[in-house]
Amino acid sequence: MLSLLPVLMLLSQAGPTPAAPPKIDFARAKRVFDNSCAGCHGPEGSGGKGPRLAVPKLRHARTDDELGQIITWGIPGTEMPPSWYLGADGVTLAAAYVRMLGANATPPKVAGDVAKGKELFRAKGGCTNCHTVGSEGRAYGPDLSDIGARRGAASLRQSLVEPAAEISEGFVPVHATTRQGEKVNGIRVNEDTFTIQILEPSGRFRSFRKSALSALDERPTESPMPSFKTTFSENELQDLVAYLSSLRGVE
Amino acid sequence: MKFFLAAALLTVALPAQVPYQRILNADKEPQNWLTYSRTYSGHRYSPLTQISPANVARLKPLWTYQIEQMDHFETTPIAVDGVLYVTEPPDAISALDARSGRRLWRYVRPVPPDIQVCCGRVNRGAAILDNTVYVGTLDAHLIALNAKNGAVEWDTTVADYKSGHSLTGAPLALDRKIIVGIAGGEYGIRGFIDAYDARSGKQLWRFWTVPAPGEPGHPSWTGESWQRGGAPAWVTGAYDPESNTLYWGTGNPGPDWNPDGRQGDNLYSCSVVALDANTGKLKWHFQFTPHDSHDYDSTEVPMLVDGVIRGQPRKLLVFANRNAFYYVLDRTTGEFVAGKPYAKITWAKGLDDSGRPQADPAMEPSEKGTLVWPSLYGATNWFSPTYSPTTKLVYVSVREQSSYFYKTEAEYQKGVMFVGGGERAVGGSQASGAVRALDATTGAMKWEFKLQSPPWSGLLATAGGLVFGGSMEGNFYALDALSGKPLWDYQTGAEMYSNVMSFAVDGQQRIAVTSGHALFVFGLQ
Repeated sequence: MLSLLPVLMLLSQAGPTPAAPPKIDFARAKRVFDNSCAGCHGPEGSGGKGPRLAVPKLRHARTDDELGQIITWGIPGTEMPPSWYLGADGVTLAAAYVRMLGANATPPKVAGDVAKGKELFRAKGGCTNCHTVGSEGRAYGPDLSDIGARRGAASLRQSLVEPAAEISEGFVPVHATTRQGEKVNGIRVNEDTFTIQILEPSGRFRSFRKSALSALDERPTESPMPSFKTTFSENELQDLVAYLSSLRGVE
Repeated sequence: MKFFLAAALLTVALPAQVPYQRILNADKEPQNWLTYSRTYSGHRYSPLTQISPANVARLKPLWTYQIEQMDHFETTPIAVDGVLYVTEPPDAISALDARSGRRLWRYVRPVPPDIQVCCGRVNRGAAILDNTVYVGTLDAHLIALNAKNGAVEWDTTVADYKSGHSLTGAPLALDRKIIVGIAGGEYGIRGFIDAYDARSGKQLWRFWTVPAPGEPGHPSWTGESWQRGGAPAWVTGAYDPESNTLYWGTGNPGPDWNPDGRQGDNLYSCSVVALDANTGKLKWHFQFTPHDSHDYDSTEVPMLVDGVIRGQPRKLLVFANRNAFYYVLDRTTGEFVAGKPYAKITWAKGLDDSGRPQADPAMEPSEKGTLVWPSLYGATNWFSPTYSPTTKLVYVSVREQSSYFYKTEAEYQKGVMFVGGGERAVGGSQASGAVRALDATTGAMKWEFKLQSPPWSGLLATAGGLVFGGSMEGNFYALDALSGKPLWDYQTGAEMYSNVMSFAVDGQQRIAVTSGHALFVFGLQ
């Protein structure tokens, strides 16, 4: 009768008596982690499309309870999906494995010079023309204020050299033409069956009835960001990745 | 003495407001909506014609009723002589003045804190018969309320909520009896459909949707698996008064995604059952998804349609199933007449001549996840399809989405989810939705109207020539029933988990739909 799951597992698992901490079978826990978590969070939680989990403290999951909730339900508004299908047992195993990774974590060493990276980001890269970091920059591309907490170094590097390799769902470039012939390019901000809202590179929001458009081309697999593969030297890329990795948002 | 006797007789013999005959002849009063799908045939079709393609552009919201509750508001209001009966989550019902939206009375039932409802604390509607309103509750009671003031007339325990039973669907009122189907297929229940005496609340019969040892169908289960077999019945069925037959869809076998312990077809899960309404005896069954392992509940509304098949007039039952197949059955015999997919499907390669799906074993849930179309939520779900006798088309709200299906261990514990796995849906630009118009007797698609994302809103067809529906982005819209062309839309501001209905007050047609935590009522201005 699953017609809608959002309210599901917690209700069933809010047992009356919290049992003694379960003995964890780490071989099974590793299997759960490898099947369900490593795809985004990297082998042994080393980070990837999803944040590194081999860290002493997790931003969203300070307590074990929070960690269990996040594994079960995901984090709304992010790409972290719900994994209620693991069941209470599976969630416990996954959480225990993540905690084990955290306990054994050595601080990730990202090679490169953060200060130089910051300068490259602002000047040579011109990154602030499209990205915000704190109060700096133009809000067109994704905000990077806490990108170091959200993505691993390898993933950041890949985005610099091959931006289309990993695009955030919901960040869709659009090319629209109005019935009057005006061409509007930008990022899709929101969309329903009848209307679309577009952010132009100029920072202006546009809103259209789809019936007022003669063409609407959405390119979810494209990135408006250029590749910086040839712009930066190998050392410069390393410095940029070090800088981006250092961005942890508002603590 | 004579005077007192006369007075007593008067009180007792108060004329029934909604006798069975009125529901039976619902087409004589298009201004009302007397049962879940308006008529017993399950069509969710309004004969009202005032709002039409020519004037729908003038449709405006006239009033809004807010429930001030966080749970999904999935109800279909009952409309009777200027009053709307609206069930509200988690467990309440209000009578509203249909003209203004102002409340006339409200009954609120406390929800036990240890309630088990897998998929949301919802209620999809009430039933009315004579002077009484009937509603099922999350703690699996059936309650009869006085239609004028909401006072409780009787309260019957249908099942033990502590083992995961609940009632979320609208009861169906027949002649002197009230039919309900149980929910709880994720808790290892054994499903059933019940009939209760409308006056006393006494149980008249129970049809177990999982047969016991010695009964036909029982060998389709191995070991003791039948006792936890699921097959709930949580969406309101249809009724054919001519043959006195009740048609009701059944849900998934349990545990949902790990079928290892229940080898066999697992009757009567994922089926439609035809029951004698007087006795609850099975006349026939048709199983859409034998040995289901994807939770493809057949808890959708069956629609009774008379059509011509190969030159012969036939009494049919048509069914747009969550498993992505559309079916045409003979409703007298249960014989398979026609069937075909109406949405993307990979779990089965097709249907054989008897309508049995050719399931692909590679599509079974697995530890690492198996990508399958449609998703757990199916190509459609509880929200209603609609049939227009004018266009002879069936309209379905279609979800085009895939999921990774996972299989885990399943161990039964009373009142705890017993599912053995689950899904991770593939969303974003890889999922979409549509309204599709199908030829009722063949399932051939006549047109489609694309939606931004997979919907959770049912549809309403009207004699005015429109089809109304909702979207997860809050769009409430009207389409031309013949062409699918969008003619009007309104942004309601919330996700729509809804079923559309229509009524009239002061001779003016209204369209009612829930969105978010509000009921919107529209009319021409």
